[in-house]
Amino acid sequence: MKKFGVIAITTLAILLTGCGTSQNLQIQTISENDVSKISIDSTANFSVSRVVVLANGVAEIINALNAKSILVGRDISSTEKDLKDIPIVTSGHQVLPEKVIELKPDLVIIDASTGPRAALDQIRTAGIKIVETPESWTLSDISKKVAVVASAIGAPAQGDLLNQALNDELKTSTIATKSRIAFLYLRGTSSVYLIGGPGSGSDSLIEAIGATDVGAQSLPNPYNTMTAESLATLNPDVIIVMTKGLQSVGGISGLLKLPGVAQTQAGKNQAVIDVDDSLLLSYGPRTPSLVTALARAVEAVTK
Amino acid sequence: MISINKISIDLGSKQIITDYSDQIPGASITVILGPNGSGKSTLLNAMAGDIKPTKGTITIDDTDPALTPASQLSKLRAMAIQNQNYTLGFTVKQIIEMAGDSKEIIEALALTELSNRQVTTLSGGEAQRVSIATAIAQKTPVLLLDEPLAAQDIENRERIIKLLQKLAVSGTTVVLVAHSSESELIWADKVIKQA
Amino acid sequence: MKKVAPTILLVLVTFIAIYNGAAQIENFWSALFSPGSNEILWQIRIPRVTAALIVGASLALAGLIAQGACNNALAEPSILGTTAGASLGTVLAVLTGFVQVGSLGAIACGALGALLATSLTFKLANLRSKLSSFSLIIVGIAVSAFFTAAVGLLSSMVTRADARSISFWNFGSLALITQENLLGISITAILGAAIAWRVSPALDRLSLGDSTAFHLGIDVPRSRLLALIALSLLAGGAVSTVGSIAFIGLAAPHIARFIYGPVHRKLIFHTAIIGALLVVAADTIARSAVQPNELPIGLITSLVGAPVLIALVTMRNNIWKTQ
Repeated sequence: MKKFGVIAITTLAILLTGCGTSQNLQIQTISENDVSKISIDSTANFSVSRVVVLANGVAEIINALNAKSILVGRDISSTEKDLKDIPIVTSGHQVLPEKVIELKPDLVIIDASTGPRAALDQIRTAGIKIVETPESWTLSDISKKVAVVASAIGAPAQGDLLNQALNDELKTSTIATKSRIAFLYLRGTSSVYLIGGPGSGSDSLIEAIGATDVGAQSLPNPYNTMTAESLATLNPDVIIVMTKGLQSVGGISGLLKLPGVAQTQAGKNQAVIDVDDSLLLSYGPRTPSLVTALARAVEAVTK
Repeated sequence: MISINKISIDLGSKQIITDYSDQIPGASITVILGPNGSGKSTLLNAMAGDIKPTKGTITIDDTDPALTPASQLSKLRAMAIQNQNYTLGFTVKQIIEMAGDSKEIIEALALTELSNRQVTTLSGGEAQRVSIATAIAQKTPVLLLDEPLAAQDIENRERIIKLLQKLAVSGTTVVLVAHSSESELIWADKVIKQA
Repeated sequence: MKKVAPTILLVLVTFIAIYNGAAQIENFWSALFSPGSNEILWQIRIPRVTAALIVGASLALAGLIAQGACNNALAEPSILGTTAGASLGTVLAVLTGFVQVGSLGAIACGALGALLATSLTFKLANLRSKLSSFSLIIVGIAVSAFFTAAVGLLSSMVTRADARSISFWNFGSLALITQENLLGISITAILGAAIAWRVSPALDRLSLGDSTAFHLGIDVPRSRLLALIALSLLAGGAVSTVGSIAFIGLAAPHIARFIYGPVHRKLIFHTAIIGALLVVAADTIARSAVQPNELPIGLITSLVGAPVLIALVTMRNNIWKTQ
């Protein structure tokens, strides 16, 4: 029984000494408040008057087109504060057809990931027009998406104006850094640890600030299982994560404990940037401002 | 010497043995006889310390087996149960050596040829002889055997009886349960009949 | 040759495991002989391979002890409720917030959970009659299912990273192992093996049944309790650190008996070697089969372990006679 005494005492000792975790000052957070959206003030007449948006980021674009007045329903992905009073017609990411039809829209905007299909069929059967917009995964996708949305609501000129404003802002916001950056998609609660590769969405942002996305450079898929060795081999200077993703692994201390992270330059310097989950890959009116914020954050963590 | 003092044994709601007393002399062979369900094995189990009598006590040389720790008890009595089931493939020799030295007893019970066989491959009679050999190898003053002759042919029966007689002469108290009719038991020093 | 094969294989597979990985190690040999030099080798790969060795040995020994103590060829930590108890103990401890997965505290809680769950199985199986192998297995499966469900319920209700996911608890993973985890599992492995060494003569005799073991001088309840403690330490340490890895506790002892016979004291060493071999091999496959992705190790051990086991059982094999 002596042996068990020894275990108990050692356990207690480890528990007591293990409590202090180091506070870190390097980590940079980019929240929705740190970015501003580009929008236009000019008014126009729209061909539709009641629009329900079920596509990622489109509600935001409609708002930026100065067409919030025709927006009567939205999906869960539109988190902008401005849109808070517009009713949500999805449960999670599932479209609830009854709620949509109840709003008597004359146009419903969807994209490839809107579902379930049966719900869309019901909406179509109710005689409601559905337009599908392209998804945006890179900076250059934004203008295409804006153009499709603008013409769907019958105001292509508004779209041109917004695109002009977005491009102007993008040109001025680019700050070149030479950092090697990795984007980690983390959902610790479901043991999902992925490294962004080519086409992850984050690669375009990282490129925009003149940095290198090390995952896009050498991994095969848009999202790749993060193994300790693969991350250590990529050895990024900076790690970008989503804010809730970071929380899901237990914050910065949890992130540094993931095998492989501590062995990277980013891990050693705690050069980590967390960006609001819905903002990072939104590719819409807030993206130019995000690029600027990201560039500043990269400068701050690599100083 | 084993003293049985007014024991009663209940198994479940049934009273198997009622208010029974007896003396089993040392250095002798005692045979317990009786029909099925009469409590022969129960009495033997009580002597072995497996069962504590509901009332009364049993003592082996002033030691109560029901109150004695297993390791101490194993120096006082050995027991071979009736249907020894072997699950792991130890050899005959390995099994007997769990109790003590195997050489002599393997010869005495004609197990030499089987000594490297796995016990899981033995026939009923062979397994029973290994079980008896194991109990004897324990070299205790009291030897308890539950139906040791049941599955044996005549040759082995005589071999076992001869060995038990030899043990009794050299001071071992042998108690065994048997099915045989009384006339065959000329080799027993005492016969207990359970009704 | 057959008798030294597992040890030789273990050395070989361990080398392959250390040599191969997602990262190419430059100057492998000089890095290998100067500890700490190469970060990927010394901070990631070697700790993981070491953990695989210790966990494999622990789970295999846990299986050996479980089978011996129950005198039942099917007894195994994941069948007796031990594994599920260890998972639940760890998850509860992590969720109440005073330990982290992989810490000594978590291991202590895992071992405690393992002990309580296994004792529950024994108690329930014992209610009606003497420990029968049939009721032991049935009750064990029920207790396991119940505790596994509790773990699943907790991890879906409380989604916290540090409590790990259902798939971690069900299939196991060595992907999150760091150097710090090695101390805890080493302690439980050494303690468990030491107790196993002590009870192994009793385990030999328990194969003759409880009553014959008792006649031969074994204090059956005490021996079984000691075995239960060793089992809980070994399984608790392994499971609370890497989740449950299927089949090792069942396959390793059976393979070991097939090669080395039934004597438990001799089997302790060999079973540990075979368990370590199986887990290191499975983890190496899990790491390298579909690079750059990783497979859950429990899938590999089931895929490899099940056929090996079936082959052994159908081959001429009198080591364990089923009742």
